Amino acid sequence: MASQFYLQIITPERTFYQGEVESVIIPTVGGQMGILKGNAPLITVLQSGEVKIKKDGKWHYAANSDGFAEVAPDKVVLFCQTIFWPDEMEMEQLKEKERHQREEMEYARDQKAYTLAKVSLMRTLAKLSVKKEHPHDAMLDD
Amino acid sequence: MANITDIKARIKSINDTRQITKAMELISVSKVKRAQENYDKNLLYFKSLIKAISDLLEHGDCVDCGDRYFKLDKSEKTCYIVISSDKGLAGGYNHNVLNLAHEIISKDDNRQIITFGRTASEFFKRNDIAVDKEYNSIGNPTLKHARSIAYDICDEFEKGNIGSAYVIFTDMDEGGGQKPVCFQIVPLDRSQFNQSSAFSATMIYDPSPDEVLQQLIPQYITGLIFSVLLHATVSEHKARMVAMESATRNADEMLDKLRLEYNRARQESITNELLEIVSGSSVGN
Repeated sequence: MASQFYLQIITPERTFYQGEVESVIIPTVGGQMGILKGNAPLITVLQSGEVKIKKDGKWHYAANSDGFAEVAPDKVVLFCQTIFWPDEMEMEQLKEKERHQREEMEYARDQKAYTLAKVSLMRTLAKLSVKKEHPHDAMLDD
Repeated sequence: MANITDIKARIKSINDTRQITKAMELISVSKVKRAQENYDKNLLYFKSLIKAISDLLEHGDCVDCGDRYFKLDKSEKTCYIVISSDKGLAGGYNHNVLNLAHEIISKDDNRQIITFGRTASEFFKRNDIAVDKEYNSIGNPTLKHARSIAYDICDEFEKGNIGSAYVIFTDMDEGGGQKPVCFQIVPLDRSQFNQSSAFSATMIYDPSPDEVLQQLIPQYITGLIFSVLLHATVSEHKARMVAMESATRNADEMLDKLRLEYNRARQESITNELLEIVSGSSVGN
């Protein structure tokens, strides 16, 4: 078994996951970043996208929104505004949301409304793509 | 006797009111609990955020990055965010915080006002004070509200439209009591960020410290506002709980008094009737 490190994922509303994992791939502003045990200490900024977690040889997927990551050799902490497992999201709801947010973006009256709508849309699109590819991936136990 | 029916009607109406206040009290109790839980969860996130920013300021290899967030520009406008509740019946909760807000705001003409909660916007309307933006009928504050307010502040601050921003809300003190406070959001206070950890001397910042800080600070402000909103919600429900508790107690006291009065009146009417019967029968004899 590959060597493990401690992963913790925190949002303002809950502790999403904590436990030992083998690897995690996170979406940063500079692209995907894979992290294994023993990574150099690092702080980076997260984008809306897909977090991939490898535990016991199996990959698990979750859709995250913007945040940041703190990496230490034996511990990684991800902070995001929101993050969901695929089975916590409904396909129909996401599609509806996407439609709504596209409209909102199109009819935005000012820069603020546009930016907020765009950020929300990015988030929804990230969720949609995760949900599409791994529709039934469920919560990962510690 | 009319007196007895009057008292009876009053007892009934007070009983009804008491039921409502009791129910509101119980609802507030559970809401306090939920709000407190949310607050605790947010605290974990928020503290880590402060730590990350502290690390960056101390060890990140940039001397003046984020400096514009820490500088106070007196010449510019001040933005005040006033947080009250949508609903009343919470004792002095709204009154206290709005009075403090009025006191502070009336001293400062060069200002912007953002209100959160219906009572605040109504209060400023009544006092003929222009409000720049209002958030009404929120129910439970969510991250979305916090994000929207934070965006406003960051945007205006970066453009130079405002030089500082304060939030006026009801905080809890250690004794479980409440007091309205005025808290500075921007410019940020460097002394808030002194909790850097030990190993961060060799921390890498990707893509660059300045860029990371630029992302972290809006998130910090969002987190700060969210925790302020949650704090205010806990205070609101607590205030309502206390107010309803004392209302219920008052109702109980009144009911006791009225029941006594009712019994006395009933006794009196019985005595009177008996007297009438007795005197009537003695006349007959």
